[in-house]
Amino acid sequence: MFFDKKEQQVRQFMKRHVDRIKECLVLFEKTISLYLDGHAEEANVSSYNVHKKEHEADVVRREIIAKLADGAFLPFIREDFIDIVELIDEIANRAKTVTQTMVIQMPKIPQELHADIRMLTTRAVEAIEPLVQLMEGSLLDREKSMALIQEISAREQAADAIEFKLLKRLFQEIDITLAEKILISELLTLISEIADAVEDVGDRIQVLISKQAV
Amino acid sequence: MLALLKLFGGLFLGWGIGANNAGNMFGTAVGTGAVKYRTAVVCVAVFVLVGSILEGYKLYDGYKFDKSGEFKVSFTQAAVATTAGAASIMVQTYFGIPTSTTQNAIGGVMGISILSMGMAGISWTKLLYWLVSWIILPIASAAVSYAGVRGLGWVVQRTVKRVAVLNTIYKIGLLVFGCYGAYAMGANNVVVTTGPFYQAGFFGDPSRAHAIWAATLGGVAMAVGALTYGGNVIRTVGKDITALDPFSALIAVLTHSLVVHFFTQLAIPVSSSQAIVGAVAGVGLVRGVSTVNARKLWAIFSAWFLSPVVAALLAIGIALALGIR
Repeated sequence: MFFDKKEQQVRQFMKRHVDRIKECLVLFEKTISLYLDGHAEEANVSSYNVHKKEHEADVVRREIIAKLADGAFLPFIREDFIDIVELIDEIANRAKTVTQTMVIQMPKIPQELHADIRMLTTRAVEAIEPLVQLMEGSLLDREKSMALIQEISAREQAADAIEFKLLKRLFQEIDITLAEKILISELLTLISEIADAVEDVGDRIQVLISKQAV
Repeated sequence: MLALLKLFGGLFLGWGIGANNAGNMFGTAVGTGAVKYRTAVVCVAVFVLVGSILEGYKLYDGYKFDKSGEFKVSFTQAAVATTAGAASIMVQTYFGIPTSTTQNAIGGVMGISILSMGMAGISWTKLLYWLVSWIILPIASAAVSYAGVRGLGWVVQRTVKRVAVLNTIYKIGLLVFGCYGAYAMGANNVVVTTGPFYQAGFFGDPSRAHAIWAATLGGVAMAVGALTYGGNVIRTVGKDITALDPFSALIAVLTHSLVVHFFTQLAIPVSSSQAIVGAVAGVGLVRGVSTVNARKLWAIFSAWFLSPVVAALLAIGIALALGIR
């Protein structure tokens, strides 16, 4: 429709943006998996791919901001869209931080933690699914959006629970040096923070939705 | 060209109305970013003219205050009446008194009528009727916009599920209602520009065709006012009112247009500015925001009473000074 051409474009770009973020997370999960499997060199290459994907998302983000600055959406919600896009971008930033930290520090991760770390990674990555659905069209439909935001929150909690269990095991049951424990614990926290970042987006979308009240 | 020069007072009033009132219907639309500034100015110019041509004639035959209904102003009297209206605006502006173009213009006609026919020849009932209408206008606007926000707010809340859809509704609504407002204002206010000249027979014997011709000329003056100076006012009003949320702004603009259009059907020229101030006050009541300050109230009161009185006295003064009766 003539009147919301710019808005349609913003929504298409936002969909593309979140797709790039999802692809970035898939690469992120692959990188962790490769590292845990002992393929340090492949993990290194994969980490670089995460970085590249994060950059691709950045490009789309800039296009969205330019469209918004060009007058898409009225100012009363334009700021919300800018904030949401920035927060979505933050998810990829965190994924990049995790993989970079890992391939730089190369912490020795005890075998008995591998399964749980893989699960934590999967849970953190899965948190993006409801967000992708939000961007695929449910965004801004009040009831559907609220349900999806709650789903994000539930997934974030699931990731949190695994992180807590892992940290407890790491410090209480695993027999490695404290320095190694600290390095691993930092990595676990960074992985879990990806789900936190997705939840931040959900919270911000809720603010936008509340503006439907007239 | 000489003919236009003779109409100067009236056309000047038209220019002032076009310039001053453009902000009333598009200030919020431009302020909220829904409508581009240029689009707004052009829309005001076009729809003011369309309103003048299509409905402006309705007020032309009733634009006089004699009891008999047979009094015919002279061309010079018409010129004095409109010039006095314009001069009155300048005097009050000089003293920093906010004023209404419409009500000053009408004051000029009242002054001439009083001078020509004496106190006994004036239809005081009609004068009172108009004055009461002016007082009712902002109050009615406030009531309508209050009900609008409550009523339409309830409907929108239940039917519009997406904030993006709401965004589009605001964009289209502010443009459409703004154009409607310009249309209503043009139809209602054009009479004060060329009305006295129409009464004086400048456009020929009173008839609908001649009234439409007179209204077209006045409409052009208002359109020119909007195009040349309207932009500045739009910007000022926009900043003034954007504290409102877009829905409230939308209802305020719609109310302004409906109320002004309503008074057009009663053939009473009213102030577009007072309609929007009243409408904004009404939505402010719903939101619990005080949108009316002492200055705005003073503006309304002075426009009710001071504007017509000063303009009437000036008209009488000018006429006496020039030896016109």
